[in-house]
Amino acid sequence: MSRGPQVIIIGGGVIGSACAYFLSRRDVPVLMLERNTTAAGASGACDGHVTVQTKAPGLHTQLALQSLDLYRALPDSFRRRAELRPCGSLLAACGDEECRALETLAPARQAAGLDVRLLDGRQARRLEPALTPSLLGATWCPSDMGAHPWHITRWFTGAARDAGAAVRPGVTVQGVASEGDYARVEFAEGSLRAPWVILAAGAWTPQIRGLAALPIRPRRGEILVTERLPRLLNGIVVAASYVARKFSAVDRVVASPALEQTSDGTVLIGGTREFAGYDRGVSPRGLTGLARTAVELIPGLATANLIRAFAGLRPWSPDSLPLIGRLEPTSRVVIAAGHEGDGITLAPVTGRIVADLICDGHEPDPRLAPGRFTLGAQTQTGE
Amino acid sequence: MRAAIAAGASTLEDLKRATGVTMGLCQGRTCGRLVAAQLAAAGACEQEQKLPRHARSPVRPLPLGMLAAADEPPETP
Repeated sequence: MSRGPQVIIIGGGVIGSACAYFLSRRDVPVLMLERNTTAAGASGACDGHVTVQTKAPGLHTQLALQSLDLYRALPDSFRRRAELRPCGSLLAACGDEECRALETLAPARQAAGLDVRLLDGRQARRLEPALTPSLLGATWCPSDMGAHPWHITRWFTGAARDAGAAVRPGVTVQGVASEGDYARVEFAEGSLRAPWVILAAGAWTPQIRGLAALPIRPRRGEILVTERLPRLLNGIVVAASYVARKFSAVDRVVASPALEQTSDGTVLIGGTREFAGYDRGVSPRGLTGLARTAVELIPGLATANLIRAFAGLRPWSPDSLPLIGRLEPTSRVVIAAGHEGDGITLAPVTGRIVADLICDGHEPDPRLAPGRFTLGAQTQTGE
Repeated sequence: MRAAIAAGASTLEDLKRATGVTMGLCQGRTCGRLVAAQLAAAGACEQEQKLPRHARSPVRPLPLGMLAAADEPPETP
C-alpha cells in the first residue's frame, strides 16, 4: 500500500471487521486499528443470534432483514467457518399478557416482511419439545439464523485481509479529528491521517478524546454456558419478556432468557441487561435470575451443569438504533457504533451502509445520524 | 492450536477465540499452563504474561436447578 490507507477503522469487533470487509471488497485500502485483539469487546462476549424477530418494528426490523440477506449472500467459506445455520427462532409466551402481545404484533410483523407464524403451546412444543408444558403460545420465524459469533468477526477480518486490508492489534486510539479532506487518528506512538476514519469501538467509543458527549453507554449482559449436552434445543428460543426488557431502560439488573444450543452441544443462556459502567464482572443476582428463568422455560436444564459465565458490554443508545453516519455534516469521521444487542445481526448491513457512503457518497438514513438526539430535543420544544 | 499459533495467535485470548481452548470443563485450570507453555515456546514472551488473569464464578460446575433455587441476593442500592 504505497499510498497509505484510504480508510482507518477504529475497532476490531464485528462492526469494524464488517466495515473492513465491505470496503476491501470494493478495493478501498483499509487499516484496522484495535486496542486489544480481534473480537475482544462485546463481539467476543455474546451469543450467535442472527435474528429479525427480536428487533423493534420499523427501521430496526428493515435493517435486520437486509442484514440477513447480506449474510446469506456471503461466500460458502463464511457459512462453513461461522457455522451459519437457518435454525429459526421462537419467541415464547408463558403468560396471558405476553401471549396477547404476540397475537397483536404478529400481523404487523408479517406486513413488514417477516416470515412470522403464530403458534399455540402444542404447536410450539412440536418444534421445541424441551419447552415447558405451561407455554401458552409463541411466534416462530423459520428464517432466523444462528452462527458462531467469534468466527463471524474472524472471517470478516480474514476476508478483509485477503482483499488487502491491514490489521494492527494492540493500538489504542486516543483521539480523532476531522481536518478538511482528511481525518486524523492519534495514538501513543504517533498519529496517522486518512481520507476517512470509521469509529467502530462499540461501548468504548465515547472514551476517545472529544467524544464523551456521544450518548452510547455500556449495557452489561451476562451469559451462562452449560456443559455439552445431548440435543435439547433445535433453534433459538427467546422468552417474549426478553424483547420488552431490551427496549426499556430500567436501571437495575433484569434477566430474561434467550437460548441457543451450539454445534458442540453447549447451551448458551443470555441475557441480563444492566447499566454497570465498564465492569465486565458477573453478578450473583444476574446468574441466579438467568438460571431461574431459563429453567422455567426449559425444565430439562435443571440438571444441566453450568460450567462458566461471562459478561459483555453492549453499546446502548437512547432509541435502540445504532449511530451510523458522519459525526457532523462535512466530517471525515464516520461513526458506526451503538448497536446494543444487535451487533451480530446488523454487522453486514452496517458495513454496506458505510461502504456506500465512502465509495458512492450515499449518505446513510438520517434516522441513524449521530446528531439526531440533539436535533430531536430541539424539535420537541418547537424551536 | 499449533496451527493457530503459526497463523499469528500470540496471546491466550487469541488462542481462545481461534480454538476454544480453556473453555471446557476445567475452564483453563488444567490446560491453561500447558497452553501458556506452548505460546512461550513459540514466542519470546514470559510464560506468566500469557496466563488468564481472572477466575470467574462458578468456581466449579453446578446444576442450573441448584443455582435457580438459590436465595436471590438483595439488590445493591
